[in-house]
Amino acid sequence: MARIGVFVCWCGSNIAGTVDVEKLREEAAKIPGVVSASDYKYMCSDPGQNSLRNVIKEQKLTGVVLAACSPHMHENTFRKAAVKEGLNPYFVEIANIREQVSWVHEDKERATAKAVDLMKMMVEKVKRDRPVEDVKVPLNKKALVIGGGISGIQAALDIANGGVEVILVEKEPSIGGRMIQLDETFPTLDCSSCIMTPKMVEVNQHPNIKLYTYSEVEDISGYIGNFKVKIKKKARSVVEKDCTGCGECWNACPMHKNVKSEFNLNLSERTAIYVPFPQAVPLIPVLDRSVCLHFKKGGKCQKCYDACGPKCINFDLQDEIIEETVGAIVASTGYDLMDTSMYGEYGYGKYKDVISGLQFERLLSASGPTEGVIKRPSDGKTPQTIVFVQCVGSRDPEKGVPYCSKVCCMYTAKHAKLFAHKVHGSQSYVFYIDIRSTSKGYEEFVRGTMEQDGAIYLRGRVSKIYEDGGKLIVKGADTLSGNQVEIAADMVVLATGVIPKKGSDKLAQMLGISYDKYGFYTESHPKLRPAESSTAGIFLAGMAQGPRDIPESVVSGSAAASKILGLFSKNEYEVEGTIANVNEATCVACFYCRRVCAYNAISKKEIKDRSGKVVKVVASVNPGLCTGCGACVNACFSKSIDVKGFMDDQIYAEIKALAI
Amino acid sequence: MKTVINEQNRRSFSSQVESMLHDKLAKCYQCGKCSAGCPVNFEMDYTPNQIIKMTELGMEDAVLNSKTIWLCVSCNTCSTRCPKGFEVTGIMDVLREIAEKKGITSKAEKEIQMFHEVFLDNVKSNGRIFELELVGKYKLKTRHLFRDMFLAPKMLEKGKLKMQGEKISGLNQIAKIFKDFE
Amino acid sequence: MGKLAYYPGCSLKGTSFEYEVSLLKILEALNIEIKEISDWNCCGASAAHSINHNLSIALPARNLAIAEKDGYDSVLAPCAACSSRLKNADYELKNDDVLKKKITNSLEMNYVPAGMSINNMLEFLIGEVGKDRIKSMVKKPLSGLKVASYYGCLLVRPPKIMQFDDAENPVTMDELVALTGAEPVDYSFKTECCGAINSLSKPDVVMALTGKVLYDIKKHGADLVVVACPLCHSNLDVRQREIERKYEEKIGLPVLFITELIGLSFGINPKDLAIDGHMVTADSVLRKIEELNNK
Repeated sequence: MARIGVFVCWCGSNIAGTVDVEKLREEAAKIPGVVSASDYKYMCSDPGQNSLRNVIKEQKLTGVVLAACSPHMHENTFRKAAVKEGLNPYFVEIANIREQVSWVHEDKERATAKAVDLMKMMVEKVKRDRPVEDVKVPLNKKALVIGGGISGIQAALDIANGGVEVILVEKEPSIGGRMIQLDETFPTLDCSSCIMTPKMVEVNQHPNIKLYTYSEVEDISGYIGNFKVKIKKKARSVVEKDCTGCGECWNACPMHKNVKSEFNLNLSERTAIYVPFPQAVPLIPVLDRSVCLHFKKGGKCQKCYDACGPKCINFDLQDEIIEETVGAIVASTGYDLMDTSMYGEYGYGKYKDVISGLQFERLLSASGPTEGVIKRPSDGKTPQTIVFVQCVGSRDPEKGVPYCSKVCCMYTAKHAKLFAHKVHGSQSYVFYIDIRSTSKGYEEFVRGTMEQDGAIYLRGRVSKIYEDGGKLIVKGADTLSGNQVEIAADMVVLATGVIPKKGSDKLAQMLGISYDKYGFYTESHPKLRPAESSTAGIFLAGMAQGPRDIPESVVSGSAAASKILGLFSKNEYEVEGTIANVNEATCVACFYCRRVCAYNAISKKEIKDRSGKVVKVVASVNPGLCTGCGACVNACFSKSIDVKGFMDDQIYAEIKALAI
Repeated sequence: MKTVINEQNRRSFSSQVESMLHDKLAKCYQCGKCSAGCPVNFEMDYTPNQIIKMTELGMEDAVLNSKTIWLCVSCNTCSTRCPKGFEVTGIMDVLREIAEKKGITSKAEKEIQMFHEVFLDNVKSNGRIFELELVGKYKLKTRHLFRDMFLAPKMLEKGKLKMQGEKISGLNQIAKIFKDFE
Repeated sequence: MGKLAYYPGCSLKGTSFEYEVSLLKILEALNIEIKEISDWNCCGASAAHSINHNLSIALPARNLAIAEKDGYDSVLAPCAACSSRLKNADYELKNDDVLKKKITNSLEMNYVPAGMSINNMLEFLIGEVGKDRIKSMVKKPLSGLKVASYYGCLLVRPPKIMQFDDAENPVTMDELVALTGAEPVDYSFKTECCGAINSLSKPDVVMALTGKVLYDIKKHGADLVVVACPLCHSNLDVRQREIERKYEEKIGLPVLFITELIGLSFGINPKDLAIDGHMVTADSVLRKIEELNNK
């Protein structure tokens, strides 16, 4: 015989203000099987939990219903309290009368009636609850980090330093990501490569890190603790173990004026066999077969091979597929800049001296195409006047994206500052809408650009840029003085908006994690679970989640690492027991369930007799992957699948309770 | 300049403009790109972005008596480049229409206003524009009798000025349209 | 090709008669038949939308409704202002049911928005006629002639309604220029405003804007300008002498309608294209064509 206790929470005035909690308690007491009904101001408080435990003990309850807030909030709290009194945690049910009643209704009488209904349904459900046990999944204590920018590097190092093996996969020939393309960094002006290269070298030397550059994740299957990963290691045409990085090959390559350097954002050329930049990690060249004469002209050219001392160039190397099993994954795929050529009015792509902020970084960088001397791409002259235009693509729902790219205010202030330092007597003008400089030392930095370095800030957007007599005429507005302004500039730098890295959406689909409409990966909870993706075992870091600066990227890399180290501190991972369960006796092996399962959790299982002969094929649920969503239950023709804790008889009883 | 905001007037004016415009004034975040690209901004008393803000603040008199609303040539550069997709050109149309309906005659830019009025009169009486009559009436109304007159002989010689206009046969329909909407 | 309606608009019957003459001539050569919309009325141009929104929809709507009633599939409105007003009316009627009801009640005619394609001159030439057909008619290629295409505002803006070419860097007219064998000239102010309707009421402003465009074209080495808008033509051509006087610098740029340039490449006699109708004489251009042909 069921002995049910109903506990009505006021949640202060959150619930009690709209729902008549006493009426609710009285109605509960009338239901057959309910042996105790009470109400209390805050059930989640210590006294509230204690009263729950006392009633369970004294009344020998077989089930508990809390009419309270959403189960997302305190289901765990109450389950734990119940477990302490020896009750199965799944015998605790929650009627959500806050989010689903008091917060969304105004009429007290009708809100109370709805609360009563919800509570009755849960009483009928809990009467039919069977014990459910959580499932334990074994953990492969190895982590995969996808993307070798600063956040991925930070995550990899932290995990590796915690004693866990890490596989770091990077698409480009070198790790370093966007940060290694930068010159000096705000607000301290430390040189990016000076602080970045030690970390890159540490990655390469770390005994716990296996580094795959020029490689991409091809396929991922499995679940937390047990992900199977296929990595495509693209053919480098260089035998890595023999290469010394001496540079004889790229010096010998005849293709030295034909290919634009991706790393220098088309501001210089590279050879067909190349390293993207001198401090590349690993310092092993890649042969770009799409432009190499050996591949284009039927094997005639082999100048690099001839020049190579250890003869490690091998034109016949093929792409390799490497398979790994890992227990957790960090997705830190980074960002791209928007293509600003859609702003015809700014002439990006048409005028050589209209460049992006990242291109300007390369012009500033000592390892860049101009060795750190600021020169115009068109004629190599040093500009005296530069106009910086902020919010190009950002905060532009019409042509670009509505969000703020966050880093542009600061890097533009830095650009103007460095320009003033490098070219004496020069002048910069910055068109801005709002200046966002909210972190430590940022506001002071921007003020310094104006007050010490003499940058003139104009509050307004630019409408058009055109060429006239070797100058770029920038037509903008200064809304503070109410003027239209024209400035004749030698160069224009567009603070281009950031978007997720190309292809990061495909990776998300492969990983089964969610992303927003712009393609940024979404956190499991925007405030309280910022390092977790929507899928267990997959963590997020860096700009793949949204615009952020270097310190924030480092923090997010460390956060993902600490989550993984925490996960790996146990030997098994517990999964909620409310998952699908197949009745093998009635399953007819139609596998409609497999078609509707969004999590790939259902496989075919063969049942064999003693002689090993297959007597039956049935559906089988992988507890690591199943989320208990119930799609398979609906799809099953033979009614052979149930989700534990949500059995058909329970659901029918709930509906019946509503109908009475 | 100083403006004391009267909440009631502010609401009634801004909501009148918004309902005619089918757009929200709050959408504008005052980046100034409209004013940056406006070809006639140099002649205006208020920049386009100022007009939008002034409308939102309910500065009805200043807006409806501004030169700006009449100087706007509806080239649509502002709306085309507006990052928020705000109807900047549209708001100028709306403000002119309100001024016109209120019988406010622009002091500084009355020629432009008169040209529009004479133009529509011409359409009303002929169904089409008879250019010579349009120009003649405009000159009489503005008393700029001799402005541009030096162009006339050559235009006549080139055959550009037709001495006779055309009237359409459905003039009654045109009359009805004007009656319904004027 | 369906049944093609022709909406000339007032300018083509008056100050910009050259546009109509040349347009009809090249269509004759191309063997394409268009029919004037019966009893068409003025679209209201800039004046109507400037001071009376409903009127600015109702006036063009009457023409569209007549064209629909007469079974046309497509309307050619060579005047950029007219095509702009027709497209605006069609757009608003499509998106505002209340307004549509008001307008059709007043017109006492029905109209189904978006049922007909409304084309400006360039859309018509590229879309309805087609590049190949134009190219096949080019008898006297204008190779060596440098031509700047001036688009102005109304052909391309606002893009969501005009749905034509790139609003900042349009190329359609340049492509047509290239078809004639001439060399398109790139410059900075293809879509800057010429001052449009304020020609009579604010001549100084118009001269400042038009002057800026003309001097830029001149600087980029063009022999002439082509346009597809009577208003642009009027400002660039009729006002040119005055601009030269005001800014004390010679321009001397003949301004032709795109239809005239195409007509010349078809080998049609300049007189038949009314090229002598412009205020800035096109003699220099005609002479250059002769010289180039003789080479």
